[in-house]
Amino acid sequence: MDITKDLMGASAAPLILSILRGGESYGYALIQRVRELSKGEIEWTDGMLYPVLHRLEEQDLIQSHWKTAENGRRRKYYTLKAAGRKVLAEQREQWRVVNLTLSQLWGT
Amino acid sequence: MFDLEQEIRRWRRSMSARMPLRRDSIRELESHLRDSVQERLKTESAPEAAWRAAVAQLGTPDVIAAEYGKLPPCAIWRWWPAKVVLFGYLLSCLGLCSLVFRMASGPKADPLLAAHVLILTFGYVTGFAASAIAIWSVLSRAFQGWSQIETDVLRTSTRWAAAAGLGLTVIGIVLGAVWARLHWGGYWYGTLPELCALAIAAWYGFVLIMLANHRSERLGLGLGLASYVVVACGWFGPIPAKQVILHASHGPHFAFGIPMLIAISVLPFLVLAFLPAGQLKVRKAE
Repeated sequence: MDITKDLMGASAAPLILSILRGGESYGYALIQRVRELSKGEIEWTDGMLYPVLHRLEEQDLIQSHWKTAENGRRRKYYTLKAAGRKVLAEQREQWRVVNLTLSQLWGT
Repeated sequence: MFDLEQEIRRWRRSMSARMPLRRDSIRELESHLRDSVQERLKTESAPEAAWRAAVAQLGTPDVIAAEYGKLPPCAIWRWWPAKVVLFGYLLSCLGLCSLVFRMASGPKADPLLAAHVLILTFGYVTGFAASAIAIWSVLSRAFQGWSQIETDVLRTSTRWAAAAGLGLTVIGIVLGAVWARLHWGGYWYGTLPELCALAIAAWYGFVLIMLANHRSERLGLGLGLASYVVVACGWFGPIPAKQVILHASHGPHFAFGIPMLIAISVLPFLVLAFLPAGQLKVRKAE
């Protein structure tokens, strides 16, 4: 199943914020996590993720720092900020309403 | 024979050509590519195939550059401390302009000397603007935390200030030399204010070189704070307590008390710069 570009774009921020709510992470791990959770249905073009992360950071929802991983390689890690938690709670409510409405319409 | 490091270098050059102002993003994308290649190699993929698959999955340089192109070009003007400092800088420049023009409009008006004083002063004030940003950054970093974007913005603003300071100081020195040739017969007399102006210009050059080669946030903070010490000492150090002619051969002498006071005033900020980011942040109970 191909998910449209618009839906992919709209869901990127809540997906990222939701994963970061569980703790800090980096770009590659975020993509892997989304792939794993969606069982491969949500397939981001990897390069698309980073501008989204950059935008979320500029909006002060997340923050980043470089850290040396166990294998000695430096990676840029992202953490959720207080404003990000608030926005995530709002988005979660919005997606819940959309999901509820569609579920009623489709009788699922 | 396939060489992964060579391919990465080639890819990095290609990205740098498309996104010259986003070096940090390119480093992050490179880190991603390395992770992706490493993961693919676990499933017995040949290095060349793993590399090609990773690059394809990441997106072509043109596609990535187009995605980044949708972001605002530079964060600095949306960073409010930069706006405050710029506003203060422009205000002080306006004040200086009116002061110098008043000095230059008397019966013994000397536009060349006025331009020398004005431009050199602009060059020095630019160093203070960089220091003001560094002082704000030190406080913000210690009390609120810090992110990579702020490091980049601090670095960019310090580089701009150093470049502007270097240009203005050099022009000011040249104008002063021309004025000295016309009125005193020689371009350079090696007086203390002349040497200090030269030292400040050299300092700006040093800041530019350091920031071009290093990316550490502490270095950015340290150079910003040190700019305050260097410029203030160079500017106020040669001014004597008693009124004597600034460029006179018998004076002035360097007033060591002023540099000492300046250096001491910067010490608390230097200490804060070495604390981990967010160390003094007030933690709210969850």
